[in-house]
Amino acid sequence: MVKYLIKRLLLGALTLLMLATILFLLMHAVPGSPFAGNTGNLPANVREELVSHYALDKPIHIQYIKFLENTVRCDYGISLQRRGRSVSDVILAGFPNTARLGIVAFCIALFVGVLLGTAAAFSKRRWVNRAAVLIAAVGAGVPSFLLAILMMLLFGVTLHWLPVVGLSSWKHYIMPAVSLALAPIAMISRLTKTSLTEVMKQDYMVLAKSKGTDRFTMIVRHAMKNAMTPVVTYAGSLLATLLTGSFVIETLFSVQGIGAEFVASVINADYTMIIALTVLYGAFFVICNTLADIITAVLDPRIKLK
Amino acid sequence: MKKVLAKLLAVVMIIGAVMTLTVCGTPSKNDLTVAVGYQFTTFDPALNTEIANSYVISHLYSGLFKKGPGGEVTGDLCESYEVSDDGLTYTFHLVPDALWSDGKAITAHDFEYSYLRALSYGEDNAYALAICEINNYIDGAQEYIEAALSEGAAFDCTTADHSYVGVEAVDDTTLVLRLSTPCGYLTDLMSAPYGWFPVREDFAPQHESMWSFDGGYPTSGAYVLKECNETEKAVLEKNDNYRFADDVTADTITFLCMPDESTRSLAYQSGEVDVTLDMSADATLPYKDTQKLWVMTQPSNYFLLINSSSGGPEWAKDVNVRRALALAIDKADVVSVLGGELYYPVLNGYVPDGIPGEKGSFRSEGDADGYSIVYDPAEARALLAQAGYGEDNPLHITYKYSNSGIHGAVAVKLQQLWKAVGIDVDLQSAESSAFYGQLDQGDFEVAYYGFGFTDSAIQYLNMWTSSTSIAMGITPAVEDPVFDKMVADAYNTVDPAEFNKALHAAEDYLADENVYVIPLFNFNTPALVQDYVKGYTMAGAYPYFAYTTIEK
Repeated sequence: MVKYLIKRLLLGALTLLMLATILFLLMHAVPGSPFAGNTGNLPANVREELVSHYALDKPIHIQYIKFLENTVRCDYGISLQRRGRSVSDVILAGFPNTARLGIVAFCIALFVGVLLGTAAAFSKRRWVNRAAVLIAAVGAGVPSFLLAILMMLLFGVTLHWLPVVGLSSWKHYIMPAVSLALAPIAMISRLTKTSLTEVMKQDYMVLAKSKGTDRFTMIVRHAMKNAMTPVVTYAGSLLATLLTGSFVIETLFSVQGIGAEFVASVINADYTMIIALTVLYGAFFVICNTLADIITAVLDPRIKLK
Repeated sequence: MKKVLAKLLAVVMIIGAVMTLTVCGTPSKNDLTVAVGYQFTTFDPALNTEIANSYVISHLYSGLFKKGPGGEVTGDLCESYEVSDDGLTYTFHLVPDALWSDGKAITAHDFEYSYLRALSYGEDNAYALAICEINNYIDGAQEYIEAALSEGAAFDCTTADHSYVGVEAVDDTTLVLRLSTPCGYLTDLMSAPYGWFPVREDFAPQHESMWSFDGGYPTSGAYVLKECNETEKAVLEKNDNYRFADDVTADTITFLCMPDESTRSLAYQSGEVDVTLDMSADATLPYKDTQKLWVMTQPSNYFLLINSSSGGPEWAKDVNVRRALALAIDKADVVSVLGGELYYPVLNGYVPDGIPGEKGSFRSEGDADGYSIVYDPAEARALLAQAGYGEDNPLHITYKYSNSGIHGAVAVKLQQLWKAVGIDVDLQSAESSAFYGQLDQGDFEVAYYGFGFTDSAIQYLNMWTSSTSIAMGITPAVEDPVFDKMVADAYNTVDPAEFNKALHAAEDYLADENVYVIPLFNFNTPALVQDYVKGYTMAGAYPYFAYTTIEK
């Protein structure tokens, strides 16, 4: 297990290094980028700061080392767009909002998805099954922004039940979190259902049944544990996606998060911000996927042999 | 099962009731929430270039002068002023009892510091200076800026020599400005929310502006900044030390940044914002003819520019052909496809609404004289025939526009109107930045154009002089030494009545006599206001909310 863990972590670190390297090369290839030598249109003070921070006046291998050093220290210098703000400040200001919203959405998705999948797998009533299929189809088919706008119109404008601007109370989280969670709910419920149905056919389930284990224990202890493997794998990348935020949802609900910041930085050619956010996104994916792999390995010891 | 259902229903109803109660339970104070379509970039007047900043800055600061709803200028912190006969020396007498929000007196020294600070700020505010023009007029300003630039961040305007700069606080209530050239609209410039507004030396350090987002610093206007996150919101709180604090009714104003128009619209409909600014005509059409729609008259024009320069097409050099182009346009028809005159009032003169004239509005003064160009397709045909164009030899022109906003709709309408008098029109659309690039290089025949200066007709007229073209590094579309001289002479006219007369003459020469430009309409900005909000008004080009009340 320890060996597997170390292997996974090393692999994660290597992935990040490759990401940073590709990013470094891309930044030097983009025409007009200050990293490609075009610092002419920046104000003098910004230019000086950028040149010294990324060693842009030094040969490229020194720049690369400096770049990696900055990346490890999470120090990306100043934002080119927001005069006077450091990139880390901007991200630290936006990340808590995105993270809170993302975690709420993640919990909703996991809870509702698993519940729905389980209900669909075991219920003998046809309407339960049909409801699960309907939710899955809506979740997979309706884009989140459309759902968000429809909810805003119904619960915000017509009924006045839920607020539509910002994240200042728990009620503010409901609509954006549900909009974010719907597609994952669809995915998780289908994964859960298929996986559970598969597991229930296994010999050990028949054995458990014949031993007289009660239905609840059987489902939760024996079936669930084994059926969760694909869900956990999916949940890893889902968490990473949700933590990095959604431009559309953040814009619609006026949430000051990093999802909106990322798109803005690309539009504004805010290179230092793009670097920082790309590395951050990459790190999230690597960490969450590694975490998911480890949990899967705990759930199913056969995994690590592969 | 039924019992379970009943319980469930009860719970849902209770939750619903609680939510309804809490949402309705708004405080009784006059707290106004205003949605704006952009994020803030600074609240430092010396660095300001953006409209969203101006919304906030005009509530935070008072300057020597202020603008009323129609753009008329009156004294604010300035009680009275004298101008020397040559128009080069202004002596301002400050109101003696005005206070900063922390209770200290506002003195002429504050203005001296603010102006020297703005001039020596550094490279970052070059564009901001160009907007407020403080560097164009104050004697010695250019030299001072260069001295500051060469020294960089080490330059300290409180100790550096400024004896050669025309800014001097004679005593606490007397400020003297010496100009390098006369400026007939100096008081207009000084009333706009840019570098002419005062900041406090002990809170507004030199060469940087991040303090302006921190809140808590003393201000001279009706409000102080309580808290701010430049991408999210700015919360303004009433300044009790403001001179007219008793008249200020809105206790707090919260400006929320909402770049997405549909989000602003939904937030307005849900009642979470009281006012939403920066809307398009399209989004507000459902509210037309209701009290909810507030169309703000903006000093902003929309006109056609004809490339009559030596590099332009041959036909454009003939004034009669240019006139025919103008006569063929039914402006009312053009604006009818855009949402109507409420949003886009027809302009017959080049200078838009909201620009002060000698006494009232410059536009109404100009309109009173009438125009030689009124929609007349028959006359247009006759002029074209005179110039040798007819059915077998139609005039062929290209019209260039950017493919965003209303410009496409205008282009199609123009094509149709010109076609009706026998002109063949090729439409060429380009992406916005490419479009302006091509215009600057003189690569067009006819194109739309627009400006949004807030202070004087001369700012609009000056855009078509050759000296401006040279200064901006663009290929001029209008090449007329007579016009150049008219504008230059206007700049040197000290007497206000003569100055104004010279501007009207230059405008007539540009648009009516020579048809270098064809004014189409005024570009107003709609906003949505809840029924229960009363007392909102304009301060020049910007909305002003200090006197609003919420009457639910």
